Amino acid sequence: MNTKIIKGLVLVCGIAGLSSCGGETTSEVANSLSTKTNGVLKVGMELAYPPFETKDENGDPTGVSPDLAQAFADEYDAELEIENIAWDGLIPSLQTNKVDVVISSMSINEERAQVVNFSDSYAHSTLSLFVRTDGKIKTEDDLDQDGLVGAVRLGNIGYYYLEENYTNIALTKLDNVASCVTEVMQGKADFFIYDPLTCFDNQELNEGSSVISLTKYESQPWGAAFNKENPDLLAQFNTFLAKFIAEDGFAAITDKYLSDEKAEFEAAGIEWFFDEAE
Amino acid sequence: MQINIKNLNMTFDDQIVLDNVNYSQDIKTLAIIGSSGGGKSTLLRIVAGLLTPISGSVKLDDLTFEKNNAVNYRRQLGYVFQNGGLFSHMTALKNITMPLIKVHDYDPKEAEKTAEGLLKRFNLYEERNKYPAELSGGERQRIAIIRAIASKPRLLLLDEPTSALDPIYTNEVLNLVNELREDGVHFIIVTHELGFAKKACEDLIFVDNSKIVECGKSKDIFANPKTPELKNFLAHVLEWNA
Amino acid sequence: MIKIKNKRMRNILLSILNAALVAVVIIGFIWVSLLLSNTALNFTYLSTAAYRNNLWGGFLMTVGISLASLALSLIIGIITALFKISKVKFLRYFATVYVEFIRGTPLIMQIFLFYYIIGTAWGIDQKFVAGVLILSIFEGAYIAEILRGSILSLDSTQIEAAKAVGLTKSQTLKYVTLPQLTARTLPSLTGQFSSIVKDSSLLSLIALTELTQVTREISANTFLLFENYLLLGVLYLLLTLPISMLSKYFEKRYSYAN
Repeated sequence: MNTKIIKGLVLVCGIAGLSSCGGETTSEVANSLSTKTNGVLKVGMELAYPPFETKDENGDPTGVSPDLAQAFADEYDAELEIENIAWDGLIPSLQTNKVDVVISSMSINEERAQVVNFSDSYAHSTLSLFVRTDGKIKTEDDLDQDGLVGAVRLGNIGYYYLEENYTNIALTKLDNVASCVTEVMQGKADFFIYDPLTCFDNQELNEGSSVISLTKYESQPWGAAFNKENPDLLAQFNTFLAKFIAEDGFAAITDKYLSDEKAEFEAAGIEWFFDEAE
Repeated sequence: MQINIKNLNMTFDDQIVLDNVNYSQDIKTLAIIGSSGGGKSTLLRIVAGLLTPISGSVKLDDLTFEKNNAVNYRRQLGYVFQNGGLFSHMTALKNITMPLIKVHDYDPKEAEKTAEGLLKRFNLYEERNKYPAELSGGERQRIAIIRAIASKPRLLLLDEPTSALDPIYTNEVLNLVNELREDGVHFIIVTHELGFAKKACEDLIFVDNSKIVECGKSKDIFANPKTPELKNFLAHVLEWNA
Repeated sequence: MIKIKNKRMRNILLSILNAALVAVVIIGFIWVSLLLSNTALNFTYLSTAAYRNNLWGGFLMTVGISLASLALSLIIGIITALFKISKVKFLRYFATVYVEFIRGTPLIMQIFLFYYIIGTAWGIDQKFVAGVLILSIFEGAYIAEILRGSILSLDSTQIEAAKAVGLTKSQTLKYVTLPQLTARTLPSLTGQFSSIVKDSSLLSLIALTELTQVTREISANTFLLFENYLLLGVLYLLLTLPISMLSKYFEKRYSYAN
């Protein structure tokens, strides 16, 4: 008899849990965030992309995205919890409501927009090629050559660009940046396609490497990603974003984390991430 | 068979196991008795060509043991271990036929016929396809003996074949050896079964403390043990026997 | 006669019932977990021919890598085991260092180390070749230990019996030692093959397009984590379950040795 009651309770709780997973607000206080757990904003990001998302010496999240997330949480008096998730696990984590939002320098594109909703864009990124200076690729046009091998990161926007425009290139899909860079430096791949910042950072670490910017690539906007069933939280973020931009929030972030990089980009004539926002 | 053992010496890790052993006799059935560790098994293994002595020689009729001719020497003898002698990965039948085919160049059909004949004779035919792990202790030892005599060796050597068996299996095995004796098979047996040594073996050697202390016709020795060591040994053994 | 038949039927029915119950509980648990984590499974991506073809290609690649590694790791394992019981000190030390290092470090480290440093240094660029080499060196160390254990467990009386029966050294090796070694080793060796199949999944780290790598790529493209990895599990089971059955068969067949 007892076990039957317990089973019944579990079933009821299960059903109750299901119904509260829809993302509806459980509290009617107008000023609180539409998050899964009341008063707590769970943000997913991959802490492997300095200085946008990384860890400080204590292992705590630091960088552009953590700051942006904190500002969002503060606006609604919510507690911020950052979950460190591998890149190709970010969207699935959103889909299962493990996190409320993904703020991880993620580009808005068609494929991703089919499974998640994106906020207004808050940054733009172009793509660059990381190559060996003595390699086959000297300019962007060299990508048309036959028999090229390109290193891409699994799930990265560069992959879609290459797949659509350069069917002559064989792709080596790896799960982390270091492997991609190594493949290029060891001549196993002719180039690594990624964002300009990472390319520059790695160029500094590797003698004999160069960075080539892809002018033919239209810069892609970044946005925060939300579960399709939570339009309320998305609306709240957009409201906050407009205010943040108006108050020069991104200029402050650039000063804090990216002053050197901004100068570097200006010198190379590459569009800065937050130009539009500033 | 004329056995000549001359000045045989053997040591294991600086321990003297056989000390200047000499024995010369024309034997049919020889029993070697003595307390454990005295050297009897070592003596048998040297005669079998399984061990090389430090010094000394062994001659069986015209067959002398020489290290570079060891395999040929061993092939002419049959040896039975106290236990674990049967090949565990072969059936009883295969245990017998394999040496016949690979060592004695028998034709496979010939070998099978010989083996089956012997198994039938000793009532072990039903067990022919069993593995040693599936056989009783007595069956294992009897099959080991069959394997040893299948190629009609000059001499059969048995190293305490019944020491690991219970009384019923012991009897089974000793009966078989006795039957072989009646067939005219020559053998040397190391044993604790003094009754068998007395009744079924013509000659006897008593080994004690790495030496042959007494030897001769077994009936005589049992009736009149001469040395104090043998008298002592017999007294101990007979303490709990009827 | 009828009584016996009923008993056997009853036992078979009970077994089926128990197996079904286990299946229900496990599937039920997974289903409830999916429900509670708000995960809806969507396998429609499999209707895309490109994905199916890639998966098939990856599956074949995994089979190919595993078979090649099985052969090579066996050779490496045998040589290492022989080195370990050799009279030559250098060979013994070499074998010991090799086994301790390989067994003491994770495969992920060995893959990066061997592919990007040693492989590059000695010109082994081709991913399949490099992958098979790395996996074989890894598994070879484990096989060497299995073999060494088997060799040590051989009964010395068996070898003496071979001597007594008149077999030469090479005949002893052929008719006694090797058959007994095989009987002792085959069950665990088969288990090691299962490990090879599963460990090959780590070769995805160098983008070798075996089953796991293909799954990662499809997963990244379709944003579907669970469907892809559930399917991955099923596909690996297709390989490991038969191997497991083979291992049990060998265990039974060679149980007479004990």
